[in-house]
Amino acid sequence: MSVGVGEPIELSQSFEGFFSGEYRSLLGLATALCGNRVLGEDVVQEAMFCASRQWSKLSTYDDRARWASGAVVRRYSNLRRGRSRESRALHRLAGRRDTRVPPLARLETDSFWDAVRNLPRRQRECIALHYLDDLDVSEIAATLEIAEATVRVHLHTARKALATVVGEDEESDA
Amino acid sequence: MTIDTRGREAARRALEELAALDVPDVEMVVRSRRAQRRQRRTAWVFSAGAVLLAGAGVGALATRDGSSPHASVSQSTPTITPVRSGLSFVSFHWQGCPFQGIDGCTSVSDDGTSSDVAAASVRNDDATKGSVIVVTLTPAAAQRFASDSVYRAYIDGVEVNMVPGASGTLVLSRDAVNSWDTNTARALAARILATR
Repeated sequence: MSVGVGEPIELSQSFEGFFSGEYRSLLGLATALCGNRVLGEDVVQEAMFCASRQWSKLSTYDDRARWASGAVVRRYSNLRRGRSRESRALHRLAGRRDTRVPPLARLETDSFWDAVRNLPRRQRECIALHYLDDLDVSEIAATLEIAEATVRVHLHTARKALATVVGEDEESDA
Repeated sequence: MTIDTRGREAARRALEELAALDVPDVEMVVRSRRAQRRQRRTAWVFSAGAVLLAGAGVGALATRDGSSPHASVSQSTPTITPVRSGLSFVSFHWQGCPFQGIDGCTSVSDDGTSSDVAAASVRNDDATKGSVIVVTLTPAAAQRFASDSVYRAYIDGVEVNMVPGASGTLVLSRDAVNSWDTNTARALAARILATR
């Protein structure tokens, strides 16, 4: 079925700039959360598609990048929560496409990100946003729409758990 | 090394790797996502349509099968259920269904009366906070109705709710959500047994 293919698409230049500027960092965030580049790409492209549909509103936002990070986290949560047929199909597809799509070795196989993926969902999201997007506590809280105190607790608990797993000192400066 | 340093180092290496990636064409991404959504929407509409058609088909068959031995139904006259003494019921099941869907299924129906009842008892029903009648079928009737799951039942011409119970039994209640008080249930059970 080739519905929609070939139809003219009007995208503003500012959206194209936003897309190319944010795509890589969002893919990093999504791959860190999903543990798989193919799923990560799906999550990011879906988030970007949502952004394209709401661009007239989004283009007025000061921090569009944060909105996009939040959209990636929400899409990832939906994918994970839903456990839908689609996500299972994507998993199967990801398995097949691994040979053609080079993995993001640093995010998919690094022991640190492996340990991050074994954390509870909120802790994982806080850690990924903190290190990959370099967001501070207040920015993470705004992105995930939770209280700053909650973010602090998640980061503290996550660091403690990560220190145990990867065998580092849990002391931190954030 | 602290976990924080380790995390920043892991992120730096990951971002270096990401920086070398090619960004896909934005138009291609939006176009393919739009096509995916349309396909999903179309599939959903087709599925919903199929479910509605199936429901309408089942409803039509249930109406036809349920009314044929007891009533004449036409569009211009209201449904009339002739009065029969005691218990009377119609049941049906699907036969020869393919793996999915109901296309190709055949509806098989059967009639039952008080004479198919071996015993009738009354028990309390917690869900409806009242009493229901448990009808035990004769062995021959139990075999006949073994694979049936949908019933229309009447006691002295008044429609009641009937669902399969434990092996060889059927449970009667006033309707799908209400039962009877104990005295009424006992009287109806006695009526069923008296009309065998």
